[in-house]
Amino acid sequence: MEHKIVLTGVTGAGKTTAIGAVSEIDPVNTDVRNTDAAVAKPFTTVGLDYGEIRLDGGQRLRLYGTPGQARFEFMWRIVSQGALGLIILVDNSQDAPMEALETYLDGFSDLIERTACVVGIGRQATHPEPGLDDYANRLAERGVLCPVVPVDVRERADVLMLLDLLLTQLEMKTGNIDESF
Amino acid sequence: MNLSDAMKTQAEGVIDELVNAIGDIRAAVISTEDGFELVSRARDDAQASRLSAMASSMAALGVMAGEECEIGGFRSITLEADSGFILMLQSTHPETNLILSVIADSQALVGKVLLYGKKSVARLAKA
Repeated sequence: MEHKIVLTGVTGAGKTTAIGAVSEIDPVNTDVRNTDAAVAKPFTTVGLDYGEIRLDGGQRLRLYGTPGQARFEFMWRIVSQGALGLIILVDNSQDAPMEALETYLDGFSDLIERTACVVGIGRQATHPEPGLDDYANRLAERGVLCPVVPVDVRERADVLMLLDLLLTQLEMKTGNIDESF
Repeated sequence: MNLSDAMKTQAEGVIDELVNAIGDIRAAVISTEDGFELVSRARDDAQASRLSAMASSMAALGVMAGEECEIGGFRSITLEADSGFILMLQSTHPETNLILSVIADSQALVGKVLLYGKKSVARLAKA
């Protein structure tokens, strides 16, 4: 079985890094030099990231990362086609991380409604606010049922945990992912 | 954007010359490789801004496809549609890579647009 999983979230949250941390193939990435002074990093994804991972059960996951910036919203729609689940990465060290989360909840609302979603909060150790409960409450207010966990996207184990949570979430939602897709 | 005024001024000159040389085109946009509009000559400014982001994604995928097929660096994409075409050309520039996009009706000559487009990117590279 093959499943397509989408990683999204704010620019700089580590989507490219997360895919690189778990992919068993050389990840495809479309990074170019960043010219946006509002974003403090040398390179940014403008097309998509792609990686693959095989799970113990024989399932193969195809991981697609999106650009974070809203000007690439058309790529969000393209990459969402046929996807089985969504991981949203939040960077707690940036300004207004809660608002950032809402941008992606809105931008991917169809995918979230149709499949499952997990939210990973990055740099929480150094920037504890908003807390996990704050995020969980906001998600609940919006009627989105979705786990929220702290994550260090450089750590393979952390990214695997996100994928594991997502698959569990899917099984709960659909009964059995292999039969439903 | 932290790009120099000189770069923008130069791009203004290049795009005006291009539009004058080709004549009847719908729009021309020069954007940064990360998807920001630098200069445009379009009937619709919003379109130029959105096209800049799309050109950035398409060029990046072009780079990947070129690498995957081992045919060298990316130079251009021609997108043919029902009633027109889009030509996207990669341009190096000392400050940052740029992408020139030209949108024309199907009556326009692809060869002519390609010729002047290539002249334009050559000029940008010599900044």
